[in-house]
Amino acid sequence: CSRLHNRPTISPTLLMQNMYQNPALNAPPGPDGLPIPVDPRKSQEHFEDFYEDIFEELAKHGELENLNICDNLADHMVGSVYAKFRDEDAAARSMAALQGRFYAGRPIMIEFSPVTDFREATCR
Amino acid sequence: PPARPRRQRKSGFDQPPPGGVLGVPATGFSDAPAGFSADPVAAAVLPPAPP
Repeated sequence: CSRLHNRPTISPTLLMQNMYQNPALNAPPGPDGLPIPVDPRKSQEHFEDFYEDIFEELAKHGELENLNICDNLADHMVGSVYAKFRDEDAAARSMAALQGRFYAGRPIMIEFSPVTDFREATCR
Repeated sequence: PPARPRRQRKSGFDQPPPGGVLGVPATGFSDAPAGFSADPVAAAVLPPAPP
């Protein structure tokens, strides 16, 4: 996104950018040079495993109200994970617990997000 | 619908990169020569060497 988003110092919502790696993005190239198509069932299973991992980890720190994972292939918000807790303290605890850790071999980049209502979440 | 049966698998959390984590010695020991700190933050605040 080319917009300048504000980064609140505290919020009930956490954003972990580029965390979900859609298997289609990492598919090896076939003989024609194009990525080999991923079995939709495997792709769904991969997503559900990821969702389960994230939910279980975040739910240790408080009550989750919303968990959105962007599994699109386009550049915009690709792999972003938005987690909205019931209160800001739970989000802060969760952030402290995740900072400096790794997921699937990649560092977790976590910050507070101003988004509180996902139905109206658009880049302004 | 019935709940999806839980799969027995390892969580993706805390899986380090295949080559290890840069800047973190595996043993906790540093091979840095005496007088130098292996900690980049501590090294950054060391006073400059006298001329």
